[in-house]
Amino acid sequence: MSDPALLFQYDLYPERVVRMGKVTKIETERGSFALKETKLGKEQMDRILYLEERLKQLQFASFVPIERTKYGDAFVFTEDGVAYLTPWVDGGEGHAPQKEEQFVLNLAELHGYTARDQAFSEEVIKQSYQKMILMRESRQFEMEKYVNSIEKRVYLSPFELTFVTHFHRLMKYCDLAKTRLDQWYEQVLEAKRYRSVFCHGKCSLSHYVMNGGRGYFINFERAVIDTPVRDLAYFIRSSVHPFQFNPATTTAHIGRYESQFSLLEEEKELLASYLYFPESVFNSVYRFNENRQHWPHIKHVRLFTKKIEVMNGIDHVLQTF
Amino acid sequence: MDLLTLIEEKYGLRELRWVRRPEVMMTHVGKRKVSYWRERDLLEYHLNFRDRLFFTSGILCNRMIRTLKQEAFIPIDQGYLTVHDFVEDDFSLELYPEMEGYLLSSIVRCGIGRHDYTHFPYRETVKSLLAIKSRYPDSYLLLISLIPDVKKRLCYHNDILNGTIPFSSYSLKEMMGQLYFECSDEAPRSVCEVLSTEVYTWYRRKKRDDFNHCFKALLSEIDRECRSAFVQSIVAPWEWKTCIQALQNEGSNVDRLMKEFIEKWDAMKVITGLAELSILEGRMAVHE
Repeated sequence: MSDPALLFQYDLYPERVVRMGKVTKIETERGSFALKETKLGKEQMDRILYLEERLKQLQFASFVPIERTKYGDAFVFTEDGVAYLTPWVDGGEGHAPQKEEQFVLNLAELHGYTARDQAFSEEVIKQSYQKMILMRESRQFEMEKYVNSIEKRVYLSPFELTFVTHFHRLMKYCDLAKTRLDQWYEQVLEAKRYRSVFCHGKCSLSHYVMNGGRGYFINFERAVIDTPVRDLAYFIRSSVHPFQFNPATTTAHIGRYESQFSLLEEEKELLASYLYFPESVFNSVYRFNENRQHWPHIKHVRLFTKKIEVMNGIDHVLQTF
Repeated sequence: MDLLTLIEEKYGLRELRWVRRPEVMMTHVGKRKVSYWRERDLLEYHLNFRDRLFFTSGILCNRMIRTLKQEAFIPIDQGYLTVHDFVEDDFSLELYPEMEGYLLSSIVRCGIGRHDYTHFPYRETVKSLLAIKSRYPDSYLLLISLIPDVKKRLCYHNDILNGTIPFSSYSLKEMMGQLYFECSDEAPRSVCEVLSTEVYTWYRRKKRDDFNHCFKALLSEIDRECRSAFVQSIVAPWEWKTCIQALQNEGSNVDRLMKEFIEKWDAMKVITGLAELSILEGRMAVHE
C-alpha cells in the first residue's frame, strides 16, 4: 500500500504510516497525506479528473483535490488497481448535527454549481421511467418469491419472521414509490425539462470532513452526472438514525438544501419515489441469503430491523412532503 | 535569467545548487538531473515513450518531471530543458539476470504497434552479394554457401518487427528496490537492430544459465502470434546482411570482417536453437 516506489513518485519520504480503514495516512516532513488504493476503471478516473477540473474552474473549494505525482499523474497504477493521494484533512472537527448542516449546504452548493439543463427528449425520459419501473418490479418480484417460499414453512427463523412481519408494509412502500414515480413522469412530460448535476455518488458523512470551520467532500470515486435527487436521497437515507429518529431534522435538511438549491416540483416527486422504494431493505435480504460476510444470524436481524426503522422514519417525513 | 533561478521558479524547487554543472543539481528533495534538447520532435518522442513505458509496464524510468504548471519541459535559449530524477544506485544484474530480458521485452512492446511488421531484405541482400563475387571470391563462396541456413533462419514468421525504440547507452539503476531504466536522450533505433545486438551481447557476456533466464524473460510475456515475429526478428540473419554490406565498402578489412562474421554466425546457431525451443514451449503452453 505505502510502497516506497509509489511514494517516490510523489517525492514523499514517510516518517510514519498509519492504516485507517481503507485509507493510509502518510506523515512526512512536507505534511500528512491520505493514500487510497482502489479499483477504478479508466472512465471513472477520467470522470474524476474532469470533475476536479470543472470544480476548480467554478472555484468550488469544498473538496479535497488529488495530488499529482512529480510526473504529473493523478493516479498511480499498482499491482491490482490504482492509487491516488490527497492532502490529509483532519476530520475530527464539528459535532454530528453541525457537520450534517454544513454537509447539506455544501451538497446544495455542489449541485448548484454544476447544474445543467439537459435537452428535453420525451423518448429518453420514457426510457428511464420504464427502466426504473422494470428494475423495481423485478426486485419486488424477487421479494414476493422469497416470502412465498418461507411462508410455506412451519417454523421460521427470526430473520424470516421479521421479514414476513414487515412484508406488507414494504409492499405498501413499493406502491407509494410507484405512485410518486408516475407523478414525476407526468410532471416532467408536462414541464418538458430535465436537469442534471455532478453527483458525488456516495453522499454520506463518512465522505465529508470538516477542518478550520470548513467542510470538504472526499472520495469522488462513484461520481456521476445524474439528477440531484440521487445524492439527496442517498444522504437522507444515510442520515436517518434508527430508533432515535427525529423527522424534524430530515425536514430541516431538505429545507436547508432548498435554501441553496431549490428542487423543481417534479424532482420532489422523484425524491419521494427514491426514498419510498425500500431498496436497502431488499439488499439486506440478499445479504442475509448470501451471507458472504459470515455474520451471525442475529446481526442480520438487527440490520434488517434498523433498515425498517429508517424506512418508517422516512415515511413519516414524506407524509408531509 | 540564471538557469538555476529559472528551474527554481518553474519547478517550485528550492535550495538549488550545481553538483555537476550543467547536468546534476541538488534540490530540497534531493538530486535532479537536467537534460538539454535541441530538437523538439526528439524531446516529444522521448516524453511520450517514457510515459507510455511506465503506464504499460510499470517500469520506473527517467520520465520528465513536470513544472508547477504541469509542463513537461521549458524553453531555453537554444532549445528546451527537462528535469529528471537522479538515481545513483546501480541495479544488481548478478542477482536478477533475467531483468534485462524483461526490460527489453517491455520496451519493444511499448515501441511497436499491434501489427507493425516489415520484411527482412533477403532479395536485396542476395543482389548485393552478387556484387562482391569478383572482388572477394572466397568470402563470396562462404556467404553463398550459407544461403540454405539463411533461409532456415527466416522460416519462423513471414515478417519481422517494425518500429523504433530509444535503446542506446542506457543504464539500469535501482530505486527503492525496483528497476529504474535510465534511458539516454539519443534518437531511437530500429527494434530489430536492438534485439539482435542485445541478445548477441548477452550471449557473449553472460553465463549460460543467466543468458537462458534472460532469453526466457524476453519472450515470456509475449503472445503466440507476436512471439514468432519477435523470434524471427532476433534470429533473422542480420550478421550475414551486415557482412555483405560491409564488404561492399572500399577498403574494408576483409579478414577482420569475416572473423567477426563467423564468430557471430556460430553464436547465432546456439541462439536460434534456444529460440526454437521457446517457440515449442509456447505451443505446448497453448495446447495445455
